[in-house]
Amino acid sequence: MALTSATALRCLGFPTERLARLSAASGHPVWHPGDASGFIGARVIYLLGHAWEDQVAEVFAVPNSAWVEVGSLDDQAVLELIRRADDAEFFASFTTGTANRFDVSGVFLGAIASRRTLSDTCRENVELALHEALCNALLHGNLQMDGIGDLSVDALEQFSSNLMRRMSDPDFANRRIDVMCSFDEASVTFDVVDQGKGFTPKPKNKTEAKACGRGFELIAVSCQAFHLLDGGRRISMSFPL
Amino acid sequence: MSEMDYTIENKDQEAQVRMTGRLTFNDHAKLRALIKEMLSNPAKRQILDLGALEFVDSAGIGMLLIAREELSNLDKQFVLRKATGQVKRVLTVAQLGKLITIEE
Repeated sequence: MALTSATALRCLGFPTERLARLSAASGHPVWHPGDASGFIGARVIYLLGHAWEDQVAEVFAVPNSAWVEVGSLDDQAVLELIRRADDAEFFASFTTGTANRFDVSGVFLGAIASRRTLSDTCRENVELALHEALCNALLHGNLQMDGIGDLSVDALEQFSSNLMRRMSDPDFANRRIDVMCSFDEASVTFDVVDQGKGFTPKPKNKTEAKACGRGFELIAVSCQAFHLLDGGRRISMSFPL
Repeated sequence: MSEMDYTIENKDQEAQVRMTGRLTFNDHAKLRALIKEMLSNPAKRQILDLGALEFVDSAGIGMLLIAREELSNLDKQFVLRKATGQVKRVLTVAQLGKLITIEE
């Protein structure tokens, strides 16, 4: 019998008994590639355990449309992320550690562009704005770091050192970054959510020679509109198709 | 994703740095190394050829400004050249031309 559910689960580097448990709790059936029963559903939520980065092309291929790096999360936390994935057409949730070494925005956008039509202009704008939003979520949100201080190699060295120190602390490195993408007739919206303390951007002098502080400016010129929500822990950006 | 990389060639009185790939916040260690190489290079005019650079982000812009400041402290000129596509657009939006010499 073919599966007709709108959403199914699959996993990589992950105990099958745990997948069965999450399947039962979420109400989503398990999908196996090449399953003789077939799959008529629209989307698959891919739960990623260990060694998934060795198979990136396969992991982000059709019909997968949501990706949850399980890491050290317990079942309740994974189920909450599955629920969030249900609310978006495309969804990704990774640890800060993964987002720091892996091009989350590039593969996520690539996966979306492989099954939805995005104009070259739209894709270019999303690429920059999503990248900047993820950098903000990672550095200023989850890692609670300031930008590069002054215009010197010493300040750049200090930034590198602070980044390494924060990334070596599991309390920071295991914080999550979630990315949601939804389409309507005329636009596509991306939300990026972090687990930091939130912040309010300060007004800046556009031509001031500073090493940091241009991220929101680049986001603003790339998207139709953006909003900071949840005290600055969430940014929602929309782009005309 | 192609990581940022660079080569340096000394030509006449100039040092030409050819940058490729994507220049993002994750390149802080490589940029530190590049700036140190440019500072120790005797050429008074340091040209950064961006013709083969595919992408730059706001942190990349910040690191280019660090290079300019450090070179300026040693009385060396820093020039950005041949930016195209996304890189040219970001340089324009950031109004970098008011802070660094940009050549076609």
